[in-house]
Formats: sequence, structure tokens, C-alpha cells
Amino acid sequence: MKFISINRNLFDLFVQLVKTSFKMRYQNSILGVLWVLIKPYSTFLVMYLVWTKILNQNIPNYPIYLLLGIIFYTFVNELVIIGQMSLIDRAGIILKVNFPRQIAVLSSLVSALINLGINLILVIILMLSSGIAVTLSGILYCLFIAMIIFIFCWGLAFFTSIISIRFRDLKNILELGMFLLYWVTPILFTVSSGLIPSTFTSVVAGNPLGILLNQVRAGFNIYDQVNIPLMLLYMFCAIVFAVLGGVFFQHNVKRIAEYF
Amino acid sequence: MDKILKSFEPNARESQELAIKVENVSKTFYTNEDTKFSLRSLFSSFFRQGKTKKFRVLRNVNIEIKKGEFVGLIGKNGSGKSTLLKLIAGIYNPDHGGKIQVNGSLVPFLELGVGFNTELSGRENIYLNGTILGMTKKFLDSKFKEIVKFADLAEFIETPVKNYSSGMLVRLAFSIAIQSHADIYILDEILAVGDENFQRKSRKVINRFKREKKTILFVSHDTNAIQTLCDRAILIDEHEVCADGNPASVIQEYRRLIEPQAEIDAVKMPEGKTTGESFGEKLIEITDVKITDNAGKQKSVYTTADIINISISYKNNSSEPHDYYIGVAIGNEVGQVITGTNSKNYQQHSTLRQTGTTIYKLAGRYFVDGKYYVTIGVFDYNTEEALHFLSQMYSFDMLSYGKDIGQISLPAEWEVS
Repeated sequence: MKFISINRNLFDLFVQLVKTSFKMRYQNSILGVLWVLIKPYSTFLVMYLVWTKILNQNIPNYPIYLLLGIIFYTFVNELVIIGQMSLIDRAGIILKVNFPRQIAVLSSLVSALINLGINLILVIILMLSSGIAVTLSGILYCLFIAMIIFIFCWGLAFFTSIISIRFRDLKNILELGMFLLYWVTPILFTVSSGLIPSTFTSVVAGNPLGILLNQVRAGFNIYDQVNIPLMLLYMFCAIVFAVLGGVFFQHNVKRIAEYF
Repeated sequence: MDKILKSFEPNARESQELAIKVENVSKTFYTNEDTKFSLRSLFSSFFRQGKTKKFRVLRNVNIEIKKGEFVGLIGKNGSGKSTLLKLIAGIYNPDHGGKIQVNGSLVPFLELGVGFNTELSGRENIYLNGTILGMTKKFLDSKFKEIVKFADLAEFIETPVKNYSSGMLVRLAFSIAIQSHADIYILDEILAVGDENFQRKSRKVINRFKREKKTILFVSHDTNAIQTLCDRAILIDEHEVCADGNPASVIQEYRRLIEPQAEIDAVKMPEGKTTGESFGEKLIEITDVKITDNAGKQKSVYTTADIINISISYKNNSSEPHDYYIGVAIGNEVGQVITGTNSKNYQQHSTLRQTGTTIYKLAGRYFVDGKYYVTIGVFDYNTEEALHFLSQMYSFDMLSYGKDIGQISLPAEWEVS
């Protein structure tokens, strides 16, 4: 009986933390939850205009290609940065109450997942209105890849949240890393477009995030080919990484209270 | 036969009855001189070992608290009390070799309003704080009205908490916290906050916990509270357990530690001399005041078993004999006069030639715990004019073995039928 109520409480605590972080971001802003949509879509508009009108590139289905890239990149960016800060942000309650700290990490990540969901819904609507075929398999494939990314980043968050308590400038390093990642990932461009200098083509082509992105696009038949075995491999690696992260976290989390 | 059986299972029975077991627990903090938590420090330590200072906060603590015990934890600031609480609450981990066992659910009241988010409304914070403290949403739904009522915040429950006064915050936080049904509570000086009304409410709740036989570990600087509420007290000083047992004796030990000066003073000058005011024309001048017990011994702390003798010596500065009486007033720490009387009221008519001494004897039996200030005056018998007046120049500490509260302890009888 007590076991059930403890688990019930942990679930409720998790829900409360997610609700709180969501409210905190959008509570007093005028546009509220709309900001979730405005950021990627305004980025999209700017990039689209620059790329097609100014630079005169012509990639088939470019708007959706670009949009999917931006949305997923935003997803990864949020998972990485928020995941890293998840323990530091909750220092208040961590120092006063004993609860499984994994909940603090997971509740921070879930908000990124919710944002992705909202953005995807809008993309699907746009795709339908522009005549692109949206199949159920496409959507499921897209969600599958989102899961791979989520699980991997969860593992990453297990490592970074603990490490950044001891080394606070990890945040800056990750932000820099994400910025660099942006430009070696085929978000704006395609791997084959002639804009990439030859020295970087292998990096861009081999970039796992790029591969994942292209698979999402492939699922909707916009670009590239679907490669399910490869994605299963990726999922396996992500799970292994997450498990390692979990072990690292469990082992080190007891000592963090003294480093705040 | 029973004894033999018992000897085979002493631990099982013991652990059933114990709520908290602290075994050989020490806690050391490491502070780096270079406290910048950056990668630079990682590199620099490769080449130069930054000085890491070891800071021993607790040393070899062994405590066993039985279920249902109400234990008070006292000690000077910095003695390690809060660290011990955090260790028991599972927030810190003991150094290698130490072990802490907790049997039963534990709710720490280390800070009221843990997790309170100022942007959210009172309602939202009830759920947030409540789940942090271990309650489920369903439970909070059922207790919501009660929480709001106890905190007296029905009108404001939907407004953001940042608009609450500090009193409102404390009421809300406390109201949520007491709904948690745990076996063990750890209270860290939380009764010290709030106005009188709130203090009364919190006392009531603590008493309810006591009646429900909850295990409570209570940290406070309020020795009166420790005396009245606790069955047992533990004193921590210099990072170790100094005393453990009956609250009255542990508090005495505590007083001795925080007022070591009093011991020295007892040797050098009259016990309990404090700076007060002295005025009067000094036709008759008070030369000496001694506060002792009936045996003539000057003590740092008197108990309710003592009879306090205030011995006042004085001399006549004029050449003529003078009719006089002595007045004494005893006040408490809050400035109230507990008792004020004089020898004239007691039909003492004296004439002073050169020197004299009057002893005012007062039964300690009527006092409650606290520090008392003594005001003494010598008056002209006929005009009742103060000839020499020493206002609150002396003090003595009273430790009561009884548990009465209020300003004085009156003798009474109880008839139960």
C-alpha cells in the first residue's frame, strides 16, 4: 500500500514539476504558449527567404525540408541545454528534500518533448495544406526518431547535469558545441548542395544528427531514403548510452548536495 | 526461558522500536581554496594541488531514537545540528564508515515552503509543495479546503504567492506541511517564525503530533519549548554529542556552555551583575548585593528547589540615624515586573546607625524558566523617598524542574473524581 502511494506521489511530483517549468516559461508573457511556435517559425521564415531568394538555392520541397530541420534542431538544443541545467535549476528542493533526483532531470526534458509535439502538429497541418502526402507510417517513423534523440539526450543529461554542478562552465561549452553543430548539420542545406567546402563534406555527411534529420524527411518522402536497420542500430546505441548515463548518475548523485 | 529467547533476538526487537539509528557518523566537508567551479581548476590541479581544507562538521555521532520519542536537539550555532538533520533526512551522506537507519516515513521541516514558486498562485503552490513533501495529488485534492482554512487564506488562494506577506507565506507553508502523514518529523527551528497567533497554532499542531506518538526530532534555541515539549534532549557542541538525556539537565549543560563568563564572574564579583542604572542622593548607600541560595552559595543557575537569598548591604552616609526600608522588584526578560515588594509591607521597621544588611528570601518554587532582573532600592521610612536605587543591576537565571508556563508558577491543587 505504501509502495503504491510512494510511486503515485513520485508520479504526481513529476507531473507538478513539468507543469511548473511549463508555466514558468509562458506564464506572464502576452503570447503565452504561442512562443513555442513563434521561435522556430520566425527562424524558418528568415532562413527560407535568405536561402531561396537571396542565395537562390533550389532544393525540392525546401520549406518543409527546412522546417523539419529547424524543429528537430530546436528539440535537440533544448534537450541538451535544459538537461544540463536540470539539477542546478532545482537546487532549492534538492537541498531540502530527499527524492529520486532522476525525476528532476526527466521533468526538465519532458517540456522539450511537449514543444516538439506542438511544433510537429503545425508542420503536419502545413504539409497537408501544401499537398504533401502525410502517411501514418511517416508520422510514426518521425516519432520513432524523436524517441531515439530523446533517449540519447536523456543519457547525455544524466552526465552533464552532474558534471555541470562541479564544472559550471560546461554550459558555455555545450552552447558553443550546439552552435557549431548547427552549421555542420544539413538543416539549411542538403549534403549534396555545392555550398559546403570539400573538407567538411565528410563531417556533414557523417553527422549522426544530420542522418537522423534526413530520415525524418525520408519518412515523409521529401528527401533521401528510409533506412530502418540503421535507425534500429541508432536506437540500440541510444539506449546503451542512456543506461550508462543512468549508472553514472546513480553513482554520483548522492554527493551533489555538498557542491551546490 | 523468556530471557534466553530475548538474548537470541535483541537486534530484531531493538530495530523494531527504533525510529532513527545514527551509527558512528562523521561528516567532513572539503573546501577548495580555489572555489571557482570551472574547467580551469581542473587543469590547474594537474600542475598544482589546490589546497583542499578538510572541515569536520560532525565527529563520531551515535544516537538512537525510539519510535514515539520527542527529542530536542540543542547546541550553539555552527555546532553541527543542521548538518545532522540533513544527514538523517538523506540529503547529505555520512563519511565512509558511518551508517544511518531510518524506520518509517520521514518528512523534514527544514524550511517552510520548499519549492514555493513565487510566480504561481497559492493553489498551485499547495500542489507543488505538497507533492514535494510526499503527498499525492488525490490526497491534496481531498485536503485542499482544510489547508486553505487552517492558513486563513480563502480570499487570496488564487493570487500569485509573490504578493503574499511573509506571515501569509508562513501560514500557507505550515498548513500544507502539517497535512503530511509521516511517522517521523524533523523540525528545524520553524516554530520561531510567525506572529503570536501562528505560534499558538503551531504549538497546537506539535502537541497533536505528540499525542499521536509521532517520532519528532526538534531543533530549537528556545529552551522553554524544549523543556515543555521534549522527553529527551541532546546537546551538540564542537561537532560532537555532549549530553543526552533529561531536558532539564541537558539545558543546564547548554547554559553552562553558552555563558562560561558567568562561572568566572562568580569568582571575581557578585554573580549575575549586569549594567543597570543607579541613582539617588545616597543618604543611605547600598554597598553590596549578593545573590545566593540558602546555603550561602552563589550559583550560575538556580532551580525551583532553591530559596533565593538576596543579601543587600548598605551604609549610612549621614551622621544621624535613619529610619528606612528596603524594596526589591523582580522583572523578567520581557520587562514585566513579576513581583515587587518591600520590607515595610512586611512590618520591618529599622533604624540604621552605620551599616546594616537585609536579606530578601524568595522561594524559587514560584518561578518559571528564564532570566530575571533584580531592582533594589533603599527608601526613607516616612517619606518613602528613594535614597539609593539600583535599577536592574543584578540578574539570576532560573531553571524550572516543572513544566509550567506563563510568568509565574502558582501553587495549586487538583481534585480528580
